[in-house]
Amino acid sequence: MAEALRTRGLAMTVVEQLPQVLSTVDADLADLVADELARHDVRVHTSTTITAVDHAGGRITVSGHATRQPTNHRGHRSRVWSEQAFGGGAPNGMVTSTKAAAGTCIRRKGCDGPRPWGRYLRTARTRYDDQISNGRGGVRRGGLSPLIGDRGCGHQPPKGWPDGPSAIAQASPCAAAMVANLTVV
Amino acid sequence: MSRLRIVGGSDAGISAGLRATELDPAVEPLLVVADAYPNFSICGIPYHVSGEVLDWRSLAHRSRSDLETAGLTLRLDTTAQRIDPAARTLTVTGPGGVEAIGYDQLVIGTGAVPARPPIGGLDRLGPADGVHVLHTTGDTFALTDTLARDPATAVIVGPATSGWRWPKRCAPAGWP
Repeated sequence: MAEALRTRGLAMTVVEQLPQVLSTVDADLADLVADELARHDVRVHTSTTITAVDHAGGRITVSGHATRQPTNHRGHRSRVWSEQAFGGGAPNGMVTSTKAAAGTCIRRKGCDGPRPWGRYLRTARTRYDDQISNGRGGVRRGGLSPLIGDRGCGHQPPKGWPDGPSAIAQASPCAAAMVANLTVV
Repeated sequence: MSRLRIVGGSDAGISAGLRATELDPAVEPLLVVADAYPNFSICGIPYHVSGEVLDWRSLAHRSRSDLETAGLTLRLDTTAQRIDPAARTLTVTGPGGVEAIGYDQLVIGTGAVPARPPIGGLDRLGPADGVHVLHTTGDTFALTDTLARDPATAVIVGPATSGWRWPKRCAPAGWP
């Protein structure tokens, strides 16, 4: 729809709850898509969760905050994803440039973070896939890929991983993002 | 003669009906379709919105008469209300009121209901306010009505599927 409306000449903004557009594909492929979006002047807000839509004075306004990192089973949340206001400009911590999203969150080269997400989440995926092959998985295999795509440097992994696919799904805001399909004109 | 009744007139329901007539020409498929647009390409909607597919009717994989010629009976704008397995009847409401339809075999091919994200205000704002969801052909008309008012800006929240349109569209040079 972004391309369709852009073709009609509308100024387009796309809001994505997860750290990358096209959350179901690998980060390097999503990078290409993000570059293409930018080339066509589509504003992209990744890692942004919309919580309200309002219609007043002839204007429609959507508002939200930087996406919270999934909490673990004890309700702990990483510091780097703390809630941000989403106002007129780009608040600190909200990714407004697709280039920035790729540079800061995806590439691990030069990473000196305490524990790269990538390795941690690959471990989680292995456990998760094991559960599927054991016939105990309750969530589709693709369900974790947004988290896998979130690998990068400096991001503090949650303390402990929720046990079982349903707990993983519950701890992740990703599922909600993948079904959200709202157009505001 | 086997009375095959199918609830749902999109890909699943239409495929079931057509395949049944191929396997057994004596079967009588009757489709209960909630709207007036059987066998429409929902994933083609963006191409109508962009103007590449000018006539929305071109989004139909097959016309109504194509389907009827193939042996399908269509009950459009008709909603299934109740299944009685013991009596083998399906109760529907449509333009003609409430009706009980007997069946020998029943297929449910209704698809899914899209999730409404937990966004405040979404429960009271709709197409008249310029707030749209896109799931059905009816949703498309609501959106094109809004676009006819010539809005300057638009926001898409959570473009999971529409994102997939991009790689395909990156290659042609005709993009603005």
